[in-house]
Amino acid sequence: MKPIIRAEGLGKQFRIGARRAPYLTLRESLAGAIRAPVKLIRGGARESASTIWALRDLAFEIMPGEIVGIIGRNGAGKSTLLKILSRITEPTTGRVDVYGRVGSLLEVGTGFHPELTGRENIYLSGAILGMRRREIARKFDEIVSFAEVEEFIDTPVKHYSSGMYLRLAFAVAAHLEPEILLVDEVLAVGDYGFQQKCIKKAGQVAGDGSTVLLVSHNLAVLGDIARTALWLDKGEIQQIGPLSSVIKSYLSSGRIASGEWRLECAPETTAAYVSGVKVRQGGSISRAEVMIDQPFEIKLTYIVRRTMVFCRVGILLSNSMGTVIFSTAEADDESISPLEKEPGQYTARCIVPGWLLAHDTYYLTPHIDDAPLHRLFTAEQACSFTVVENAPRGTAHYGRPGIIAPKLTWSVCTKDVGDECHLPSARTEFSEAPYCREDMSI
Amino acid sequence: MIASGATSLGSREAQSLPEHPLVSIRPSGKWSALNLRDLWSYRELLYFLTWRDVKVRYKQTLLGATWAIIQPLFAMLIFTLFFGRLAGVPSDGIPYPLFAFAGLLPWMFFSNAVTASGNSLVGSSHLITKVYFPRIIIPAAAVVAGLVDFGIAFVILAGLMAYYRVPLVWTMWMLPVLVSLTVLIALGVGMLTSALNVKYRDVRHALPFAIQLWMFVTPIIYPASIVPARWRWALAINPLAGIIESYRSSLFGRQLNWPAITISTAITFVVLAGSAYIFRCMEKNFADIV
Repeated sequence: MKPIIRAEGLGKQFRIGARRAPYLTLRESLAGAIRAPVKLIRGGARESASTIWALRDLAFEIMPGEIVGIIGRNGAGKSTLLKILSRITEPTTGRVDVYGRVGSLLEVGTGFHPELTGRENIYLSGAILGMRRREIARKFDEIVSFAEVEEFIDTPVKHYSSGMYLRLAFAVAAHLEPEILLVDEVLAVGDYGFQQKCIKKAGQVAGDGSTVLLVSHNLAVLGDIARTALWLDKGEIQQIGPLSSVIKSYLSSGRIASGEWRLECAPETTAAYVSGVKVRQGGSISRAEVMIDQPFEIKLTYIVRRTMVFCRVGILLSNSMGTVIFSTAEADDESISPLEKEPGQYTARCIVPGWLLAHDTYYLTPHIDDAPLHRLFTAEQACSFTVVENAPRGTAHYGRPGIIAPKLTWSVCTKDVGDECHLPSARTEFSEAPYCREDMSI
Repeated sequence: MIASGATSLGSREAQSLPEHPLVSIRPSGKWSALNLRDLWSYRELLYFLTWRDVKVRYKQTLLGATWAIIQPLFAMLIFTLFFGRLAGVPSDGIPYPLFAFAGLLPWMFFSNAVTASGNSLVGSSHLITKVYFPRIIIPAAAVVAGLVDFGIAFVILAGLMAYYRVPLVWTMWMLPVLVSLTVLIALGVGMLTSALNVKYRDVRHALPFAIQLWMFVTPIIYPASIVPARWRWALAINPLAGIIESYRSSLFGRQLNWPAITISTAITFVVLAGSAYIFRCMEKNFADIV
């Protein structure tokens, strides 16, 4: 059978200079033009030092109807690959032949305008995603009912709740019906119910015979939909094949936990960015390990460049399967300043209690939102650490299954012994447990 | 290479894939032509983006579309007071308010269109980095959206002409041609500035200033006839000069200056072709640097 996507020698080179300063001022460019001949005389060998390959020499074939999960660490080139396939950016080398209509869903709500009504945004966003007007008109009712926004369809979307906004935005994209669908991490936003709906819809699209390429850090979600996985590492294909075997080798590839992360190249354009993340317990932690019974601290440092009226800094904590365990933001604490931020360097700390996370490796994704549900900056799985059990082997708390490991209050009563209530000895400080007494008084 | 995927049998799989790829993505050379077929398939997007710009422009303003009338009208009143009355600038025998308004009309369209279009790509970075479509549609939509204001102001001009009892003349057939020329030159300049703005943010600061200067070298508040004959050639380099003078000639039944129109048209097309080429060369890097 013929592949629907065939890539050969695909590469994408970025100038690191371009990363650090994405745009030049005219003066720099003029100065560069004057200096260029001089540089040429001195030798142009420096060129290679200031460029990096985000993708290098990729070759793969995707068959029609295949659902491919693209996995890899932060900065492995996953998003760059999707951007090339959706023609947003050009490759530096190589070629890709695409034998079908491509629809890309790299963001939920692409092209939405807050001032326009739901109805108007369906048409606008649909057109931007590549739908014909007649096609949108035909699917209009279906989109509206999928999004469950019937009563608000003529209200400007700026008055929508964030859930409604997301549902409508996804509904438009979900009805694109392309032959090839590219999806980037969009399932990471929204509540659980919405995510389930998206996953179901993605599965349905796939059932229709479409080819789907899906980037996700959530391996559990990928497992539900995809059958093939493409593992990228540092811009090169590490492995491609059946999902389960790729995930297996991906997980065992020894992504070494570091407990600390520092941003290498600050993005020049964004109003704010996270410059570092550190996990500490007591002093600095060794080998990125956190004891299960003690609280530990997550320290974020971030830079605000311009005055921001809305700046919410938070973290997402996910486990080794990519499942998000919790997300928290500094604004969760009411005592902390409002969301407005003046320029400067900030340090935020949050304490995670002991006896919360089970024994596993965890990944921290720091992020900054500049509007509700609008990511300004994110560093996917920037930093990782392992929670280890320090209870002696064989005791009650060693090696139990579960995503979290809370130590709960228990009380046990027995009528035979008399009116005494037997509490576990380790928890005597909770001997005031109220309903136990009540129970006994009956 | 991939073993498992071939097992899924979807409905579309039964259909055979096209013989040739729909798209072949590869690094584009320096001399890549404007992809007209691609552009044509996205024509509806031009309509929707224009419609969005028009719809959103006066949202949450108290006066709404009245702004399209207020701006040229007040500019005309002030120019009439200072240049017409106080400075006594000649106006080729046309009542000065009418003279100024006829010049301000295309000029305001041009300057608003170039400003909007020049900032359009940078303002649409969220689209450029997230979805593909021919980028040229963004500055083009900003220019076309300006036509609505232009049309509204034209109604005011018609009213003014009725008030001054200006007769309808046959030379008015030139107006559609002149409007098209104005749109094309605005598109040419707008496209170029929008592309440069992505790479050099200086453009954002230089643009309002440049447009202000440009206004003074264009015969808007003064007639081209007061420029000494030996400097007329300099005026002809500015395509807006020929176009705006011709607006007046065709509205008020004056002799059309064909050499000037020819030069302006030629320069307009050179500018358009040049900026389309530059735009095309810079387009591929927009998503990486915007």
